[in-house]
Amino acid sequence: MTESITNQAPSAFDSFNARNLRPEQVAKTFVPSEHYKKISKKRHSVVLGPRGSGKTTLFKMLECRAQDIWIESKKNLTDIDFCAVFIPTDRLWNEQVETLTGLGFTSEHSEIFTSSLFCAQVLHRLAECIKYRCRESSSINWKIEISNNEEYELVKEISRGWRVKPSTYTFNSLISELATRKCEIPAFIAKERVLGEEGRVSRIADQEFFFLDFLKATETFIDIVNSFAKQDNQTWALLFDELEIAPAFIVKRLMESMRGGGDKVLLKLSLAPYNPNFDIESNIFSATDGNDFDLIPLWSAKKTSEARRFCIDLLDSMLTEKGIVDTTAEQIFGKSELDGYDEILDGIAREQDDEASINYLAENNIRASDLVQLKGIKRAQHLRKAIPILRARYEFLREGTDGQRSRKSIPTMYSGANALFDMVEANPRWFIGVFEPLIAEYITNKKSVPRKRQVIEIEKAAAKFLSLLKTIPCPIKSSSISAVGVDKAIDTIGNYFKSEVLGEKLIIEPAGSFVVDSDLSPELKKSLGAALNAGAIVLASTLTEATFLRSLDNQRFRICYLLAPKYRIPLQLMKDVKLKRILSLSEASQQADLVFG
Amino acid sequence: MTILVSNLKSIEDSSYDLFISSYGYESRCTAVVKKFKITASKKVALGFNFGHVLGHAKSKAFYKDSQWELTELGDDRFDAHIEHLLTESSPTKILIDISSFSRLRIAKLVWAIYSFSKTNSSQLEVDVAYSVARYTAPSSDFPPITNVGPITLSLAGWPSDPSKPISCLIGLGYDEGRAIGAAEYLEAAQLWLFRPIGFDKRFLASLNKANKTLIEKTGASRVIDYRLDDPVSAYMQIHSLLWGLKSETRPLMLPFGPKIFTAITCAAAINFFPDISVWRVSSGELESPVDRVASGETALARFSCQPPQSQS
Repeated sequence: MTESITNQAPSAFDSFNARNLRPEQVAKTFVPSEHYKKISKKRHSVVLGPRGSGKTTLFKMLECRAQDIWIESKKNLTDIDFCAVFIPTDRLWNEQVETLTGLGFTSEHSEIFTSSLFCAQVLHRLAECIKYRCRESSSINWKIEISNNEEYELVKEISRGWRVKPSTYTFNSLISELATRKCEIPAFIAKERVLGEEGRVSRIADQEFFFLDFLKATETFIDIVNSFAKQDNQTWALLFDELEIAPAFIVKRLMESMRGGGDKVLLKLSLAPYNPNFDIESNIFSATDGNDFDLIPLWSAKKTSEARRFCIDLLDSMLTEKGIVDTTAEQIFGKSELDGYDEILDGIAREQDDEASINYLAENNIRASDLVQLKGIKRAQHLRKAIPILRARYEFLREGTDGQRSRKSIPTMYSGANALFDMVEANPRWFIGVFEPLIAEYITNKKSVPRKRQVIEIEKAAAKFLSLLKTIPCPIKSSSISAVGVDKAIDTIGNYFKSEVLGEKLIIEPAGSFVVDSDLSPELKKSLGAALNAGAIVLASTLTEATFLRSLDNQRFRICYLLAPKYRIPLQLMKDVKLKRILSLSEASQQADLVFG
Repeated sequence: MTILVSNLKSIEDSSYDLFISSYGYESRCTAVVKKFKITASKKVALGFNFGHVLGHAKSKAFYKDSQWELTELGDDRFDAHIEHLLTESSPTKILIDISSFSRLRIAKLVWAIYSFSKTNSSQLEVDVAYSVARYTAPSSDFPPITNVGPITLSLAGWPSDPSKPISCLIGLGYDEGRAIGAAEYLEAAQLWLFRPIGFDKRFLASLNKANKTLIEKTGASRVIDYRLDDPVSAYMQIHSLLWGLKSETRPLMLPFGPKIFTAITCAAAINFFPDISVWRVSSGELESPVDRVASGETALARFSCQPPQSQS
């Protein structure tokens, strides 16, 4: 096969997914955030975030390989004083494990098989890490000086603890043996399916590695390695990614371990925000945020200076990589229209198209023609809340040349540096997806990127995101097979907000966020949960343990700003409304059906 | 045991031990039977336990009047029924008209035939016929997706190393957004797109439009055209790609588009078992019934189940 096929360099399509990058590659373009500072602490952590929010990037940056690149490039980064080992998982792997271990086995056997597959994965990663530290790293932080004889003794000890028998006691042989084990376990399970139940218990009992606990085996490994390296106080961390799709009993084991507070192994877990399937007793969460672990949510419903700073830094990093320095975001993309209200007011005053807006101003004793001159407290009082709404109405309700109200084909209110930053929600994957082609255009044309072009790129990203939302499987009601896909649920909510903002009657504080009623159907809640995990809706309530685990009840959400142009809504957190009200007003009978599910 | 795929020019005047077809709401489900003169010792038409609308009654009546053995059953009983059919008739030569089978059932059929051949160490020749539908414009409004996952348990592949990236081979269809949505969902590191070139150019135009962004982002070098009348070329391309990809990545195949591609995909996955996964994206019973009418063109392929040594 040609090199191009096996080449690991990502294509343009996937270049913004850290999953497919090696830690060294991640480090080369990494932009530290406040989240990174939090996760770098020598504490257990639970990182919560939707797809693309940077969970994997943060984890991969903690690995020795990535840290070494940073040290080499002399970039200023928080010191990490633990040795982190990244344990990946993904949808494909989990589906395969579930398929292989699920059918035809008792739940006890299924759990043993799953656990052993998981354990083999953890041990394999640990073995790769120790090989790196002993044989590849040159960093004083991580390098363990070890002779060939010592390698022999070290691997021999580890092998004994892990019940593996490598052909020789070398790191390579250990890694190879663990890779073999990862193949042998599925083969054993497949064979068991053929052999049937008779004699299964003793056949399983004969395999020692089925009964290795991945955390205990890790602790054994740490004891051996620290002793060899004469680093008794060296802390190790296991970084478990995408645990929302991992078997619930594994997550339970990890959460229990965090509560135990053992300091030999730090645990850092990444999860999507919504995890309805974890059947975990509530008392497990006597392990609490701020006490036993740090809870690190990677989103914010309100605009924050940290998110804006991260966007600016990320853009700078991308520009620097292309050789562009001393250029600001506003020089390339212009000022966001929402940053300077004068032009908006001027437009409303000059054109006076939206009767409701003009009436609002009249009721408040503000003459449209005086808008631009309006200064001070009066202006702030009357216009602070109204401006974004008036602006949206100005954008979309202006009369066309034929006298009909029509939308402008490209709504430029969604252009400009800060508007673009807001719409990508500090989500690195969205950010890179939108900004990469715009930067390329800036380089080609050597002039600022036209506003229409910016909005087109946002619309493309939104279209791709909507395709993803359509693909997310939605639950169906078993009784009537009535279903609402994630995209349709969002559409219903988004169109309601649109009618609030652009309706015939001007509402200065329109509804633009929603609260999930507890008596809504479970199917709809699951669809909304999937939307939350995908990043289509953003939690606006304060995060609590109950929220990040299982329930959306009585929580407040807004639609992500990437979809704001589709629904013509301003980029701001607006007043909330009960979701049941939105659905009951929806014309679609399907949604109404789900309300009372 | 491996499955060799070869092209087939015609099945006219052919005779088989077993002829399996399906009947449902698509008019084209009778097209192959009507088009070719075929003799078979046993003729079985399998129906679905749902979707009894549009052309269903007429198709059912056709098969009944033509003295076929009819069975209407759910997907959960399908594997066992096929296994029973194969055991009962011990065929060496089979014809399957896959035109109106679901992708799930096609995967189950290919696996069942492979398993039967392997268990009995018997060589088995299976001709696959696919009646190409007349062009209809794609629908812009899809029902919600209810299932994204392995097409069958047998073709899920075995778990290997999740630190290896996923490479995704996608057979393109003309439903807008489905392929790119699935690619996003799986977060694949590499994409390879298989674009069918059929007999009606309107399909290709609609397909290109529906997959415009995906094709642009993937890049022309990773878009592979295949002809419906030359399925063996498609098979060889898939085989060659899988061979190269499986050491460094975890290959996953997503067969949208013409169902002959699904059959080929399953055969390829079996030949690399258990390294390859075949997935489907489906709305299941929520799928709106559409009457696919036969265009008159038929795509054909021969799957030969043989012990590995006879491959040369």
